[in-house]
Amino acid sequence: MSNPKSKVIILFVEGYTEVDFYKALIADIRTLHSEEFCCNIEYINMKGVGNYKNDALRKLDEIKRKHPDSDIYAFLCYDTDVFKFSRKPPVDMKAVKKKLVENGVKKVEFIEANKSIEDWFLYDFDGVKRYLRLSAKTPKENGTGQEVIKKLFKKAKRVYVKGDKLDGFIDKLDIPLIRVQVCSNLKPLCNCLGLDCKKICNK
Amino acid sequence: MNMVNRLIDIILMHEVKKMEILRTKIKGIRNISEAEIVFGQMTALVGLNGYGKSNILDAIDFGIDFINYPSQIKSKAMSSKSDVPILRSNAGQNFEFEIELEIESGNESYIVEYSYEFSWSTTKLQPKIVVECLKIKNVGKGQKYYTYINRDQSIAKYKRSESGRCDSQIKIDDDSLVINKLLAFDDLYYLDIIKQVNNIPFFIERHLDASPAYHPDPFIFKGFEELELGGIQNIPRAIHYLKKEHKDKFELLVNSFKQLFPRISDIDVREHKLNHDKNKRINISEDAPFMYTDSIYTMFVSDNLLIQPISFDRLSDGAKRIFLMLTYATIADVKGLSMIAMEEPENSIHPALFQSYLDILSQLVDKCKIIFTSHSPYVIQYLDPRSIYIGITREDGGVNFKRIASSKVNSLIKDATQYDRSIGDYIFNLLSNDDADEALKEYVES
Repeated sequence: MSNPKSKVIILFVEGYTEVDFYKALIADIRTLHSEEFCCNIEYINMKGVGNYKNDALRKLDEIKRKHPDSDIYAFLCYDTDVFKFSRKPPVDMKAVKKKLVENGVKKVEFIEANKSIEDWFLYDFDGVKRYLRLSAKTPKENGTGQEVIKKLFKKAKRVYVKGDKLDGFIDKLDIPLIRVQVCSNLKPLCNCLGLDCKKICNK
Repeated sequence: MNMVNRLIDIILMHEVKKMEILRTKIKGIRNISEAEIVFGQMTALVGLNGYGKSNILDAIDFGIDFINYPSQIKSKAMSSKSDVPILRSNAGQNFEFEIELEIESGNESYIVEYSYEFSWSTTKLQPKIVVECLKIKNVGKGQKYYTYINRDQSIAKYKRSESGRCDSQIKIDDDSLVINKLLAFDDLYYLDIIKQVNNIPFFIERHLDASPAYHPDPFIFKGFEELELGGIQNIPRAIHYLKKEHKDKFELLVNSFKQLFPRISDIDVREHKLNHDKNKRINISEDAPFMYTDSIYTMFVSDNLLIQPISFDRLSDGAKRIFLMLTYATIADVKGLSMIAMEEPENSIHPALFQSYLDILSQLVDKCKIIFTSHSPYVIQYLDPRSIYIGITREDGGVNFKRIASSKVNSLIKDATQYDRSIGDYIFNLLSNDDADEALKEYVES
């Protein structure tokens, strides 16, 4: 009987901050799980000037070369809201999914951030303020997640640029707190990792 | 006026109330027969070389500056050979300028529509301002427009009292505007609005090469001497001023730049006292527009990969240009500018930075609008399609800049998607084809 194929999970995300976030999330989940995940996880930053679909296929080819004879699972992570300066047309994730499957990915699923990943970060509002060295009393203003986070950054005399590198930002966030809040969105990922949802999110 | 001095002028001018520019319409200048721009936060003009994108920016500049010119300069401007309409189709056309603004006055917000028209100087006729109109509506009170200035040829009338009509006659010369003359009417109940229309804060930037703006320069223009920071003529001077007087904005500017260039860990600006013996200075004629200053300023950057700070001048052209643009955006916010116009902000800059660059510019300005010309599909793909104006040739050879219609955005996106292109690629590809105008007309306002 031949050995079962190894498993590779690719997370296609849109920016450095998201890469850091998903790495922290997986690290956090690992602490809850006594057994090692029996798979490799690849984090792919899709922020760029090119065509998302073609870039995703190019990255897939690289991963296939890196992990020959593996079963590849892919997660397309994206915001449900359109970012003001997003590339237009918006990415047709269904078309990307179809292409990835045609090119050998065993299963492709979506992780949707409602309405944006910034809304997820703001579940730990205190953590964002800590990172920015703002007073704990700084109130949360109205607006979308992106608007709120931009206003906070401006109070700290900084700009928030979606997807750009923010050294130390994710480290300051309470990832378990956020994980529990976005549990349902992460369910396909947890299932793919073979994790018990109830154990991960206490839900 | 020299660009850097214009910038300094803006820095040094008194705080102005924040004004929002909503729309402008221009007719009869250079190759422009008619152009109407409705401003989004960012508005882009695209088209082939020679279509007149820069002429649009110049025409807005001309139209706003004309309001402020003294009569003598107005006469010269109305005779300007470089601005008079030159197309077969628009030769002889009067210059018309219309601008719509949102203005705060007292605790109220007003929409102000101001327009004027003049005939250009010809060999047979003297130039003459022939039409002028000011309409105002109170936004909060849901008012309709009321007319405050109405001029037709030599008969000019204005509204004198809140309850009265626009029927008080005012004597006006052919080379003067009523809006200027009303500045002297101290008891006019809408004087504050008149003052604001007379001082529309606007800046046009043309540094395709940013390097000269960073060179230390000991010369300053006369006239700035009595001002504390008068004579600042380059970016390091402006930055030094910002650091001293608007520390928060300086930090925001530096952090914004560092966000785009993460390897840069710090930016410093230093003042160097010249301490020169006044008797040994180079002799400058009293008629010269320049004089010596006591200090020059230099900027330095610390880069994580370098063992020591380097002069800002040694950064790449793109990095220097980005810093220049971010500086303008910061000053625009500090001084409440209504608009900044830029030529090809993408020049010398890697496309991978465009998305963040646009996002940062939008965060640095508040109500200030940004309008720019562009030859980059990479820039265009990140904009709201309704803020993109495309140059389309008319049958008579002229060019109209038409905005992508709200009702056509979906079909533009659908068509770009079908060919697996960004909207930037798609539009620029169409622009490059022989049948560009017919194809593009499918997407623009009629």
